[in-house]
Amino acid sequence: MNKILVPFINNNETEAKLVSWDVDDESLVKKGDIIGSIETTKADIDLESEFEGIIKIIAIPGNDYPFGETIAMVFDNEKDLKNHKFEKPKIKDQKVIITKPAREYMEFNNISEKDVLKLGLSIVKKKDIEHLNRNSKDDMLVKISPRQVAIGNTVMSSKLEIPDAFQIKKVNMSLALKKMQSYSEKNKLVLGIAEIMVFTISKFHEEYPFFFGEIMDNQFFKKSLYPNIGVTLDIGNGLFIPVILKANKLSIDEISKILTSFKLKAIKNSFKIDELQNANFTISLNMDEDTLLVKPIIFPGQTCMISINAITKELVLDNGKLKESSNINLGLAYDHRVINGYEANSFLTDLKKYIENDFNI
Amino acid sequence: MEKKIRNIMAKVFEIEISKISTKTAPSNIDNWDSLRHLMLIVELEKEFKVNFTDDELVRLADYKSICKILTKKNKK
Repeated sequence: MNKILVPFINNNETEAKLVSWDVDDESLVKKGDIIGSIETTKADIDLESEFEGIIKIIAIPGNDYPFGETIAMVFDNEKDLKNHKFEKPKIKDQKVIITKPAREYMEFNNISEKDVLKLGLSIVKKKDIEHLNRNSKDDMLVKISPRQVAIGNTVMSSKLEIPDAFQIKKVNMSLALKKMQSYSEKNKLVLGIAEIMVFTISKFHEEYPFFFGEIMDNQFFKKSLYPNIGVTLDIGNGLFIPVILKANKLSIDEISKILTSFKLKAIKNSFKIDELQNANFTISLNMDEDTLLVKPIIFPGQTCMISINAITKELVLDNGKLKESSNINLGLAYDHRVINGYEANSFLTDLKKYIENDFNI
Repeated sequence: MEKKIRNIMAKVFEIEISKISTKTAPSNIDNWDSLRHLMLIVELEKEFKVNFTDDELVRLADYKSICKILTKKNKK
């Protein structure tokens, strides 16, 4: 075996950059063949083979190698080539380009840059590093993000710990929507169903304390002083549940102001931690068109969650005349340790009656 | 400034710019729902390099109020 070395080029420098190989790895070369090129700051030099045989390339174009470093070897025959144990050449100031998809794959799969650099590639593509993903044997396996794992754990904990039941009630929103629209136009405010529901539900805090509290050690229930109402917001940046504290003490203008600010923070991903804490009741907004029903989970530490679903329109008979009615389905998931079907039905019925007949801003 | 506001509103609500007038409000733009309202706020903040206060956010309820609030903010 003969070594092809980085030639000593001048006294002012100590290394040269391997620019390219002009022959294929493990191809036959003859003495005098131009096999590649190197460069220093002062000169571009063709690499000429001094030997005849099978060339084994071990250095990577684009990298700097010290003068005298072995960058390829020429073997007399295939047997010698196969039996030889190779060591990677020393690289000075290795310049490695990691492509964007490769970088994303590394981040998603927790692959360190150190492990990638060990590959000795000058350009690292996604396919070059897929085998480094210890959690995945093939492309069919995808690592679940930590955020999603946390969500899953909360849901699992809810399912395992809370003996839940569920009830749904249809509510005619026509009166509330009419009053809301009129109020919005008069007061130049942007109001929606979320504002109506926070405003309305908070009024039931005193009458239905078991819907706004916390079960402790399966033996005690802790009532809350105020209704702190969480509202699910998912505007493309993930799910947030900011909390409107002491909602029963707020006007609908104030609720609207807080909710609009929260929605903007959901877009900008700029919530402060204390804005996402201390809810004792949660409203799950699922108002995309034609979403008839979402069955909510109950967050550990709370006793119920109500889902607000899409508005549907239907024609109803009103004193013998056809009339358009705007309805939503309210779905209540509740914890059987403190709430039974009777109370759940009473809560939903009173909510329905208030919204349909007595809603006032 | 008003031209810029009209451009943004046309883009966000996906309507022709000629349909935006001083009377434009959620009640006469079908696409003016809560999500697009937020998109409008974000675009206005970006274009005019301002941050609306919570009070202002709820008052950005129609074309007139948007112009009024932005004029006031620009004078500061």
